[in-house]
Amino acid sequence: MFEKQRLKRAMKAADGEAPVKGADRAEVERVKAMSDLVKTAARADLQEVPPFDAMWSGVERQLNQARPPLAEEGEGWWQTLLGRNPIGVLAPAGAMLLAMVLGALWFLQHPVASNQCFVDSYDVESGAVLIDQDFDDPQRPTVIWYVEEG
Amino acid sequence: MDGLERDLVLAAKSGDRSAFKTLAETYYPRLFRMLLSMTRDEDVAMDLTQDTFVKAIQAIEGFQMSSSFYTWLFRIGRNTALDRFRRNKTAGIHHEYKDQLAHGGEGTVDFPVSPSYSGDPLKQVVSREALGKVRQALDELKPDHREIILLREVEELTYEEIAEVVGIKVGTVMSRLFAARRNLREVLRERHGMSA
Repeated sequence: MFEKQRLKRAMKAADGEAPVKGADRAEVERVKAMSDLVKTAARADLQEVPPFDAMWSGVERQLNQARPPLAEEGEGWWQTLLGRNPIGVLAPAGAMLLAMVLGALWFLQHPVASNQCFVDSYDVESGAVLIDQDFDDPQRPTVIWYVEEG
Repeated sequence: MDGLERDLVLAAKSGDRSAFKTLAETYYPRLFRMLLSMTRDEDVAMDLTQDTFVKAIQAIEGFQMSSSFYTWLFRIGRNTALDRFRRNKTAGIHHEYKDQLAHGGEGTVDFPVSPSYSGDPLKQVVSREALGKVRQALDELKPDHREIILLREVEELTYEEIAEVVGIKVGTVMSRLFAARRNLREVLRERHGMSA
């Protein structure tokens, strides 16, 4: 337990995180030597770093790809958009327009039937009910008439 | 963070790309080396470096400046690498290790070693084979142990900086580093016949 604490203390001292105590000096040197050994071995393995400019051009390329297309100076946004990919823009827009026209035509030919019921009532003692319905024209509203006697 | 770096970070935060580029140029070698040590593949390390800078540019506006710029950048780099490993279903860091020293047992490198490692306490010539063993031993460590040793020894980060990069407490850094070094010694001794 105390030995482990002593070794940890020596490690901290070797790493410059704590002052070196006399009794720990040998262990501190051992840790430092080990550090040097690892440092040399690991650094010997490291290759020369590739040029910064080559790396940075890759960064800028990624950033430009991530950026949404902006209008060129002196151009309208639509000119830029069409200029870059006219088929890619026009084809979906045309398809959408066609779908809207077809939809409008369909609605004109198939008006939505209404189930709305209008009720008007009043007190009567007696009378007759007439139902006016055109079976040939389902779009025509059905009207229920009340005919008071007399 | 010194005054110049602070000014550059503030300018970068307000959208000055050239200020960010200056910061990137400063830390690029360290970031690349860290990612290379994690991946052992130059192409992958380069991809990750670029991804890290792209993410950093996109996130710089929200950087609180409560830590140093490079620990913030390293953290983004580390997380980017870990995301890539997860996506590739690679269980551990630096999964495909190629022992580049396997070809060369010849040649020497100067470096200081401990008295227990050699007769000369100040400086000794050690064979490439010995350095190869150390690197192999590093590769045999658990990924989190290997990572913390590299952040400390190669990047020379303080305990606090390591805590920021890895996202753990300073106390955990100390415990993990202690355990990692002890394991490294054991691996070197038991599997490679070296005392360090």
